[in-house]
Amino acid sequence: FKACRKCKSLVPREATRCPVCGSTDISEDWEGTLVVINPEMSLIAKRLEINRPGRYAIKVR
Amino acid sequence: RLYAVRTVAGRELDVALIIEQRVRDENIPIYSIIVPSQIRGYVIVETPAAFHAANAIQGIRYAKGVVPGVLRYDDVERLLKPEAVVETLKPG
Ligand SMILES: [Zn+2]
Repeated sequence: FKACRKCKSLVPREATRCPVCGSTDISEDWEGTLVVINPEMSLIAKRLEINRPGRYAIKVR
Repeated sequence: RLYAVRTVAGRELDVALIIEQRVRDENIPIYSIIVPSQIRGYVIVETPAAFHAANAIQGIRYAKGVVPGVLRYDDVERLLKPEAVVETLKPG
């Protein structure tokens, strides 16, 4: 995976554009992952104000 | 509630992705999965009860079991901040 610098979504290695937000600002240098499966039920997602399911990088450089 | 799952070091993301797949296929009530970069050999699962986590990791070769005890949300939230300092997680 690579990570979108704008929305932090993990994107496939071969992607040049983030499928979630459309940004082309994509990094290979990222750390940590948060997989949000059910944002309505997840207190973690609520605390981080994430309201859509997805795989996110915790830190993107 | 947040539970820690022990994994083979270096296989944390693999375990998280398998759990994600199972949660979708089998409708297991796991709401989020965290792979903290600061702690090797663990993933954190958000679910109402430990047995759902145990269920989800059953048969995954790189998963070694659910750690007894719940983690504090504040501690885990700290792991999710990019500027987080390294700290140990204390179950209970
Ligand atoms: Zn994006």
